[in-house]
Amino acid sequence: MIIMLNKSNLKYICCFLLPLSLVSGSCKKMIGINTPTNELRSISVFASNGTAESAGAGMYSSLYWSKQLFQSSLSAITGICADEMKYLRNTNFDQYMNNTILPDDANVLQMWSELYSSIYQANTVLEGVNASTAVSDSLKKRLSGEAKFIRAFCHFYLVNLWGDVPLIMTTDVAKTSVAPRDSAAKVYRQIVADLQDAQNLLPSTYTVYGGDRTRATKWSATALLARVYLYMGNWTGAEEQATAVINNTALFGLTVNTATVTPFLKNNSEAIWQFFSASTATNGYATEGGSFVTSTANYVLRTELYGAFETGDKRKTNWTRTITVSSIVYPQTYKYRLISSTAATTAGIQEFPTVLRLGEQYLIRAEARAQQNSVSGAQTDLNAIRTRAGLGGTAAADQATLLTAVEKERQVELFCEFGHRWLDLKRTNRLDAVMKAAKPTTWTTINAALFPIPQTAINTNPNLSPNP
Amino acid sequence: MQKALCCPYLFRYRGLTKTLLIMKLTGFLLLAACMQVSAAGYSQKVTLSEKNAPLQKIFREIKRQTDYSFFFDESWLQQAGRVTIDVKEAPLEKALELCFKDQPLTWSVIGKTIIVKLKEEPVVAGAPLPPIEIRGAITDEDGNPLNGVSISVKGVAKGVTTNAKGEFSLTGVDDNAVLVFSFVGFEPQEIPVEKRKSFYLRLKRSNKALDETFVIGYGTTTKRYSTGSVSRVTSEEIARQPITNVLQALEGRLPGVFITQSNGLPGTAMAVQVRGQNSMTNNLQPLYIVDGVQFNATAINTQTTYAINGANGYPSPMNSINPADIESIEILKDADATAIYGARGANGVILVTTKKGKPGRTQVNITVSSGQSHVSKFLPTLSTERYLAIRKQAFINDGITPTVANAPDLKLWSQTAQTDFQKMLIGNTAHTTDATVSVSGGDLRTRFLLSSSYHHETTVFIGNQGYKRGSLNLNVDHSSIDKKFNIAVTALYTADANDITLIDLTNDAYTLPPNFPLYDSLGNLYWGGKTNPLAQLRKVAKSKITSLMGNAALRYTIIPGLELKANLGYSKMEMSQVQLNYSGSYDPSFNIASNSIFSISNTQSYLAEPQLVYNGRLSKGRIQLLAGGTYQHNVFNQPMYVLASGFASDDLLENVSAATTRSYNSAFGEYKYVSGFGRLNYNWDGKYVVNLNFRRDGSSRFGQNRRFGNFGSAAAAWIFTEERGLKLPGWLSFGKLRGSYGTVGNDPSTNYNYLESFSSSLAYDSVTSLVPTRIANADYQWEINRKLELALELGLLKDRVFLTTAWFYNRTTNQLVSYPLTPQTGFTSYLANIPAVILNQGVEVTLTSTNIKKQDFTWTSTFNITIPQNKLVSFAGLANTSYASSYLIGKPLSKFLLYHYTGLDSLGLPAVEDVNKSGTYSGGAAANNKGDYVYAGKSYPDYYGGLNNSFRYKDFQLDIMFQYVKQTGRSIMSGTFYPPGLSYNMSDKMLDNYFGINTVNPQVLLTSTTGKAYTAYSRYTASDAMLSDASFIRLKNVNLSYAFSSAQLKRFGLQSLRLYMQAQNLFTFTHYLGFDPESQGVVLPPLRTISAGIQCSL
Repeated sequence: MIIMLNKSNLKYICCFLLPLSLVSGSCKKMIGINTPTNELRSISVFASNGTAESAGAGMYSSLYWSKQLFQSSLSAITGICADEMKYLRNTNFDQYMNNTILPDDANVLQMWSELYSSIYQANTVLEGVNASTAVSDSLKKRLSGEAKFIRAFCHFYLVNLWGDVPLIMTTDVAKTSVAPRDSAAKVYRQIVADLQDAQNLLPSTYTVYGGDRTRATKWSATALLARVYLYMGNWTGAEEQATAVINNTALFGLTVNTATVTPFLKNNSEAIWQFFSASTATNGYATEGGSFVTSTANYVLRTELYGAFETGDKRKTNWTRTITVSSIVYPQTYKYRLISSTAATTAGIQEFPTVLRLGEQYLIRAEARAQQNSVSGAQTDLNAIRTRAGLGGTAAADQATLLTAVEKERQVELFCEFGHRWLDLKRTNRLDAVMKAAKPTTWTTINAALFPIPQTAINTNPNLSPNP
Repeated sequence: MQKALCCPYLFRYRGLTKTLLIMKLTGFLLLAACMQVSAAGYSQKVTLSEKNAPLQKIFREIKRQTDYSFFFDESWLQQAGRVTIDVKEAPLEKALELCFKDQPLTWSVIGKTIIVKLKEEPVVAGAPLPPIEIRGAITDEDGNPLNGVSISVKGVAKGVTTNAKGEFSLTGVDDNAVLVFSFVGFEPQEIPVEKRKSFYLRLKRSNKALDETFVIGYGTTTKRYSTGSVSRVTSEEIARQPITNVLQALEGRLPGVFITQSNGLPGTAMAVQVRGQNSMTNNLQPLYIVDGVQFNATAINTQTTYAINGANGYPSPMNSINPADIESIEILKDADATAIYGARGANGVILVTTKKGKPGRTQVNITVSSGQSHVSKFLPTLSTERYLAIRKQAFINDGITPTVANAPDLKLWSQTAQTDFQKMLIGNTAHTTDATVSVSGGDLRTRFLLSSSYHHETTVFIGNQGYKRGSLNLNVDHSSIDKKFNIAVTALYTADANDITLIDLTNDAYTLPPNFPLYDSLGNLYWGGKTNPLAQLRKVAKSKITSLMGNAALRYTIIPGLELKANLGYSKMEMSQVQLNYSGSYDPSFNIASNSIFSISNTQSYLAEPQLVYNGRLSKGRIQLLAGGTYQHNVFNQPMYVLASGFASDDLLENVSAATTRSYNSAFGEYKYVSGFGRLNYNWDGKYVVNLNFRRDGSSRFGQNRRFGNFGSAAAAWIFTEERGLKLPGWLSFGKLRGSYGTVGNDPSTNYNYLESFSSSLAYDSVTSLVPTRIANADYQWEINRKLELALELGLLKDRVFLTTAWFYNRTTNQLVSYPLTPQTGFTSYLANIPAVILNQGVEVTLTSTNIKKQDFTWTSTFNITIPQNKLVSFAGLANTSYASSYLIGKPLSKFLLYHYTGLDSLGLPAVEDVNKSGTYSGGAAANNKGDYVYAGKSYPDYYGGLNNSFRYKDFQLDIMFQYVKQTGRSIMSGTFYPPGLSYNMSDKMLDNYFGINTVNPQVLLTSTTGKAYTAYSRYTASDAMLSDASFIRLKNVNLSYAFSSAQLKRFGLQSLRLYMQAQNLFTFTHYLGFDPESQGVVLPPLRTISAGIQCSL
């Protein structure tokens, strides 16, 4: 049968062109879609300076805002594990107080995961800028430096809290998901290498960041390197790096210590690296303050710490406070004490959580000098801190007493600041002695110096071994 | 006898009767009509010069000059006018055109024969009648021409059948004769001729359910020849029920379909599960198709993280379809029915077909109804006396002296006042008003329907809240003269507005102490450390949804049997919401300022589906082939979500620009789909049917390595009652055995889950920040569902009883889960497919029976039961995933993992078992070493179904429908957080249960949330002691109507008039410890509704 198209047939057939025209072309192309407005394809992130800069800012944003670690849990848990704080609200934190943390502990898992999450992010930025042809050379340099700084910073906490840990240098899940634990020495070598690179890559002023001391510079890398050398026992290295920071008087100088002027104010002269903390219209402290300054007895200072302040120590008056609940007096840490002003006054938050500050550098150099038997040098540095606290010069005059004096000064200067006390006692092998005295009934084993490798992490990586 | 000149064929038949001649002629004309041959192709030339010549003369002349001959009936030529023509060497076509100009005749060419026919238009008045005395056309109720209808003259061996256009003609019929029209699947009609010359009839489909057509994916079928499993609800069943959302009308009516209503508020979410839960974490919804176009059945505000939700929860999008606009709903269940939907069919497919216009007289239909709804069951709570006694004892146990500060209920409030807060807050009457007006009509070629409806309902809450919906449905259907081309356009527009509180007041109504004073001495709202429920009314969630669904279906018959079709669809749904928190909604002592939230979001969808369908014969069978393609594009857009505060006055809360502080968010998502599909159906001699489906789907929701996949099914049916060799009992009138097997996919409901991307995060020091979103998975893919079904369908006693029994066995694998990664990778999990297997199997039985069928009385019954079973068959490495604490291998997905209650301990407090002997109690499945929870049963029903009885006595109709579910639930106690002794009321029956005996054990009562009693209570409420038999039998629907007889109505010019009363959720028989066994928990239960209405057509 022959079919002929007459005019009316053609007319009707034309009606079908519309659907047919839509359904043409390659199937693959037809299901190509746009990304959601709040997501950006990874490949396009490093296709311009603006978005690459945002990926850089994202490292800090998620390290601080999206995670519990630096908002409260690091200071709280290490503080409770050590002899700084007790938690009275409920029994949830008893295992930290008694140093009997189980491998399935959720907080320890969270800290572990958050640190590695930031390392992943730093590696993404490193890989992204290295592969990019669109990002300017100067920005590439700075972002690489920032990423290496963040990576070193996170590895530093990992190796100190857990001992041997997997050193993660790539985003490739096929490799990282089966990586075994590397020796602490190897991790430290990489931290040093990353920080040395960062020193060369990062800017030496804060101007590129608009003056806020909230992102990494050459000085934050140097300050952290000083700390790392101190932990490694590289006294000359520690002294050298700390000196570089201390000598930069154009940028840094110790603040006075009054009720309202503290080293925790945003962009104060002592700050080397702080977290940017924003505040909405509602009243509140910077997050550290929000956790520790409460009207009920939640986190309270132990007598080991509260009793350690010498008479007249301004740090006791200005950096701690007491509350009375049911006629019982409880001391609290009160370093972040300023309530952000309301929207009406527009000042917003006045304090930034401070991670690296000049006071620590003086104490690093004091210890490094004491270790090298430079008594007067050590005394000068120690007294710089003591004077600011309203105290007289140290009585310690030889290496042994000076080291003890530095330990104590670190205790009352750096308390409740991101785990200093816990890590100090561990690295100086003083943990066992101090904890036996502080917690005679519960402290049993030096094994508790290390957090357990989280059970979840072990379950999902056959090559990961537990801590003893 | 008249002569047919110039026709070589007819000369040979000279001497035969006129009738036979005409019949042959008709046959030839039919053939001509079918063959659709155009005259455009011939090239012979003619020269004619005539004045006032009869047509025969012209024909003779043309025949002489060309080799064409003519075919005609002489009597027609008598009607033809004489012709004057003068052409030279004109094309034959041209010459013929001139000859037939203004003649009542037309012509066409087959081979070398020119066929002369009467023009189709009715002969003008006064003109002589043609010798064919009776003509006409037959269609179905929708106006579609019926090909092959047999028309016979009663008692005489005479008859014809209709052609493809449904036309017929018959001659030589006596005026006293009776014509019989009959066609398979339709009710035969007998009509006396009585001098009528034209019969344009619509045949009614026969009530024989076997031959009723119903809709399936990309086509239709009948119960007789269907190879798949399809359940159906028609507009009549929907119309019997006073409901707002059509899904409410399906509850209990369909085997294999389990529907639950979340609460009794207007616009509430409906959970629909077809043959069980197929996925652990992925999409659980069936695919919804409205008039061939995918309907997004996910509430718009679940597609974004920035959502506003009123007390009713996420609103069911099906609210946007007025139930009165729906002609039928078909639910596709097995592989045969769903595989044509490929990657989206795993959870079943719900096909909604809207009403269409019907040809015939223009009809106006008006329905108005009004009803009232109530909470049908309240829960008796503690009297003030008992409540206060418990409180006093608790203070004694604690050794605390009650003061105005710690016990205002004992020291400040009235010690005798007793408010029934349930009556007050949720015990009001909700009013419902419905009105629908529709106009429909048309002729054989063009039909239309325009209907408009209005629905308004209030709530049982205190205060003025309510839901309004208006809808407009326009449907136009048009065919070309030759019926080869058809276009049907539908536009469905709905606008609704839901004005409701933010929080369901049921919780307050249940837990407020009975002596709580609502007002203080000054007449202001009283707080006293509680949330005043009247203040809750000042937190308002308003939402408006407008929805437009448009689609056009084109059809063109290329050659008989071969059709080109296309479906074009567009839909847009926009939701505009505002949440207003008036300052009076907060306790003044907290000093919280009023604030509001605004959100606008919309979804849009575009669809194009070209198809080619071939129907033909092959050997002794009918074959149908379908090939088609789909292109679909969905966009979700939320341009703004604004948190606004700092208003100078509460009056400005709805004005976003009046806020001094605003924070913004937005969201976007996109989804594309492209597919090719095909079907082969072969029906051999009405005895064996084979049906094969195939679909290849590509979806943008998947990783780039796995964007495309193939799905398909094979099914067969054997109608063994057609088998002559079988000796079957006489009472077996119909028997069919069918089976199907196939692979269907489960598409996830979210986009982008595979994508390697960065998301914006909180700005860091005023620099926008971007953070990696996830570990990309290029192999991310759909879940695979393999469905097997075997069914036996029997018709007994001349099909008066129908029994369908189906067994299904569906396994889903390739489960999309959040697969754990060791955290050192940077993420703790990523979405991946794992070979975990979920099994859903079960038996469904449907029994339909016409118990009595008399002239004045009929009684029919329909019964259905489903016995489902669900099981997690395997999940490799379950112990290392986050699912270990919540799933058990070998147990249903809808399991109760709870503590095991062991009775009272030595202190008299309820104790639970420390299954893992760890000394502490923690949630998580003990069987997977994750805690102390044991498997205590499942929430998914053991069996469910419904029983409907319909009675008709003369003009009265009565329908009574029961729904039943056998299931286990958790009592209302598990939904409240506070043990007795605290300042909350509760069910006294629960309290007696909790005490174990009807006396108060002092140890149980404490006033704090930290003591042993509280811990014991919270474990007790998370224990298997909370399980309650939540089975129920519900008198779901009663419908009584009276239709006035047409004789009564004629005087008033009415076509029909019907009065009706309807009731929904009339009674519930249950032992469930709580408000309602269907919604469970402390939420407003589904309401009892009684309404009355009137329906008339003009």
